[in-house]
Amino acid sequence: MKDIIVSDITYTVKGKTILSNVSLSVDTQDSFALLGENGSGKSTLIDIILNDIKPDKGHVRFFENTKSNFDKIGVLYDHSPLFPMLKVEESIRYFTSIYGLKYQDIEKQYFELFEIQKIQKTLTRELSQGEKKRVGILLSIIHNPDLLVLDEPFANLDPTITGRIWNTLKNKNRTIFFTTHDWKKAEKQATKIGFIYGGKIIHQPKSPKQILETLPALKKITISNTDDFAKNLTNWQYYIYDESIHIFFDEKSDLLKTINTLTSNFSIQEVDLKDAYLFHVHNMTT
Amino acid sequence: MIKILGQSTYYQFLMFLRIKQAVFFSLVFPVFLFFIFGNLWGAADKDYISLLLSGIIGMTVASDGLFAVGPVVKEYYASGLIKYLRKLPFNILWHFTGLILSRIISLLFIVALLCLTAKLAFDYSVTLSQLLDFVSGIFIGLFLFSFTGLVITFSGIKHNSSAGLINLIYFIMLFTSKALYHIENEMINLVGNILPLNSILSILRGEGFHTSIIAWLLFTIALFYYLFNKVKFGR
Repeated sequence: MKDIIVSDITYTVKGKTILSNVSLSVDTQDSFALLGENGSGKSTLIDIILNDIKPDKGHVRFFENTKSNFDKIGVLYDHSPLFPMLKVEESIRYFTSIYGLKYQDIEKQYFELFEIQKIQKTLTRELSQGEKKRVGILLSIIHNPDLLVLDEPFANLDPTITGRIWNTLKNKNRTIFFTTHDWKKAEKQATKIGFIYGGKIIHQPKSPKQILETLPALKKITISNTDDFAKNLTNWQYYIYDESIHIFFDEKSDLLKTINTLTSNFSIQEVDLKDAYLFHVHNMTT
Repeated sequence: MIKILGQSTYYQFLMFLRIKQAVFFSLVFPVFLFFIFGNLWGAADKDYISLLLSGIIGMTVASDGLFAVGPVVKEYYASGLIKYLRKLPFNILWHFTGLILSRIISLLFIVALLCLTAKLAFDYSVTLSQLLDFVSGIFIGLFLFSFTGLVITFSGIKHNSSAGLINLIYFIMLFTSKALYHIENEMINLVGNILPLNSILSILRGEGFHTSIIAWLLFTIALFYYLFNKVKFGR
């Protein structure tokens, strides 16, 4: 079953295309990470999925229904939905009453996990970004939704509790659709990755492992992009980023010999999702 | 839903009490103004004290409705809170109604303070009938001015232009109204009578209910509902 189906979404603002024919689907129990650089359209797509922005074209469906119903969906926006002049426990009490839940049950189930006890008497405006994020994530799951749509769930979060919170989110095999700038965490936590660039999905969403397997090799050599090295690399696949050339490196090839003739200043690394993204962007734009 | 409304009202009131400036301008300032104006122009004139008392209540109802509801909701919009509230399993109008009810509670407290000041400073006793008029005026006035503030805020929400417009409308309404003095000029009177503050003052002063209030209420509520549903959450 598909918990989210995004079909052919196009969205323009003042003639500028923000999203162009974006289609993707999220299967039940998947943890789907949407990755892309700043301004690629991630948050706009989240807004469209959550029905906050109407697209020019296309549609979004949850649980294969035509009508949006957020009862089974938990939402986390980039900014936490909190009242600055309420204490944390007051905000949680208010939201539990809206959901018809008992505050004590939420306290028992989540306060220790999310380390809420330390901040429950603190005004929201006095919380750090990480503390606000913890409360925001808690509010997204208090009604025990089947599907979570999370914009930047790891941003500002204390790394020591990220794993614990993620396990809580994944509890009951929830489906999670999220965006993040933490690609290492996405590689670790997501079961499926989608890349977005310039408002387009640039690669068929796949598991992190499958995505890495689409690269020419599982290792890369990185050299500084000086002296126009790229013209000597016609036999190898590479991309240029941040004034460096990243060349995909198969140990059976004679790439190392060639590099040694050009420079002694290079490094060999294993590829990751960022390489996959930049390589596909490079292929798309050249 | 009643429980949610109660919770919403309680928490909105709590938030109001935690903002020192809001408490000063909503609770302290009207009493201060009543005391000064009453002593300057009408310490011995009970009719003027009566007019001033209801006028300051009307003025406070208008400013509370216009400034304490619309801009707060706009802040919800700016912070993205509205996007979140729209995902919750309740009608967001309950939340706004709680906000308005919390203002009504604070206004009832102001009325009590003003009545006490009238007695202590000017030996003026408010009758039960006057009190009922004040309560009616507060309820109707606050709903009307709150929705007026919401309409102004939401009509200019993209351009961040609502604060100036609300100020302009508030002061035109106040200075053309019969809140603090009688108006002789026919033209000013006409403008004042078209705007809703004079109608609210009529209720506060026990002079009767103008049907134009119903038209204002229906118009502003319908327009707000339309504007709110039309709001696009741009990025």
